[in-house]
Amino acid sequence: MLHIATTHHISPRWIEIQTRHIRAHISVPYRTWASIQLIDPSYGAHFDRIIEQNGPLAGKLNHLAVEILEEASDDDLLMFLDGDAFPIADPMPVVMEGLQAAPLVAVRRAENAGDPQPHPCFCVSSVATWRELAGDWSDGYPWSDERGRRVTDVGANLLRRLELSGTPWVQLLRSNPRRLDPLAFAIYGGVIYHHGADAGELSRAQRERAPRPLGGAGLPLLGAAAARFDRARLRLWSRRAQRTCLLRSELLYAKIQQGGSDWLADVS
Amino acid sequence: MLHIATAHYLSPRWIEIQTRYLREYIAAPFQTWASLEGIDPAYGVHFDRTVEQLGSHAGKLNHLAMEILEEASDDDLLMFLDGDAFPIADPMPFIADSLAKAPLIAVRRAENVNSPQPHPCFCVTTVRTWRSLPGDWSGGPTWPGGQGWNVTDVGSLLMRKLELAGLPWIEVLRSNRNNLDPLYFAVYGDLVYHHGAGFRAEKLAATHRASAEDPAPMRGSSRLRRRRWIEWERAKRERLADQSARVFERIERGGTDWLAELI
Repeated sequence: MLHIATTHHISPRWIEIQTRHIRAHISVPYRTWASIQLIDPSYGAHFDRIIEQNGPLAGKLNHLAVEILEEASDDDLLMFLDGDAFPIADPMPVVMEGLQAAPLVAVRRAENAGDPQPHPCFCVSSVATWRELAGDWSDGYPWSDERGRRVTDVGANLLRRLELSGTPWVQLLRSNPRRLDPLAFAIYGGVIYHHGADAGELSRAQRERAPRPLGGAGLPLLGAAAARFDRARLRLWSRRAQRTCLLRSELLYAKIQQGGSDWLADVS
Repeated sequence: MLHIATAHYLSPRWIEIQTRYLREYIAAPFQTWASLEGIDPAYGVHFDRTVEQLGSHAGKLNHLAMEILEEASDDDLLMFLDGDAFPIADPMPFIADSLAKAPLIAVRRAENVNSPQPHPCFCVTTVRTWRSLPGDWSGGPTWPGGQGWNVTDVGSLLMRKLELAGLPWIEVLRSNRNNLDPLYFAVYGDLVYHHGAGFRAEKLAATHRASAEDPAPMRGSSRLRRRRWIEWERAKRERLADQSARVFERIERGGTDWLAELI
């Protein structure tokens, strides 16, 4: 049995899309476990099990896994799938091949300033592995990103657990071009789509494209003026980048919602 | 060996105080493991080990425990202690006595709208128990909050794991005889002090709102009521920050006079 853990928050707009794609592409017996915080409970009908939850994403995922592990057997599979992620092809051949090579298969968003950690937009392991690892999606453990900044993110403590236990994992990397956005509208391993653009916040990958400061720091008067100009320019750029991303997100969402697979041409 | 995990954030102001009280009151051999995000690394000398961390409080505690478990043996003890918490008496006799009855001891902030979960301001268990649970400070599971909707908080998943494993835990409850605030400046079990307003004095808790005299009577427009509520919150936060600063100054001076005001 494959147990699929997913969280939807505030908006139900991905629920029908996600569950439709799961039905179309998951070729093995599965059960869906969902958190639908602040969403009309009637949407629970789309899932096999609803778990009442609140709070940050990592805690919700850890909690979903705890509830699943209460019922699942060691040989069952545990899949984490973001609310705005879904299969666009049968992922099970990729998963099974991956699990023969290592006990955990997960998206790695290398395109997000070099993120090294497994990402919960798509991650699969056996229940036995999750239990032995004491899997934990919380942040905490830090790393240096591509520009040398120390950062952490969801999945950081899972990465550390994998390191400490010497457990290898199979990374599913982005397989579509970054034309529309450096991080959002992503396909991983040719099998999973992750929209990743609903929040309206700029990702680290997007911020990499921000205009560089003009310089002049340290120069009297000129330095202060240049810094003010840089800040204003960055604010303007950020607003524009957010607007563009949200607009593309809405256009693409409308196409995905219509059904079919034509929308895939836009992101491929 | 007792492994003490603590997280200080942005300000080093509790470090000297906390470590002084640990030296004074912890009668067993111990090792301190600290997270010092946003604090000059030179303060690391106050601890045996510093672990570089960023992010959420629950994630930091989980990560600290993970690093400790790499080195600790099953019979070692693991203590979580908030950065603005410290012992005010030797907790080891109580810990030994309690761990003979249940595998985990923790503060329960019943005074915070009856929060049911273990709180990491003070929690002790064996390394074996933390490993086998496995412990996790994340939020997630909910309970009915004071305002009628379901809430979660740090420690709720640990509570759920204890429930599912059928493990009892010993609750350490607030023991102040005198309350300067319904939640903060707390003494638990006459053993541990938790300032509470230590790193974010501006933050009001559910209990403050629940115990507030209604600052927004039902007359007037909703905008007016909202403004009155915002003003009440701002004034409350300022009073709390002043009170926090006054208590902190007295603690910093040393001695036990400040405690007399609470117990």
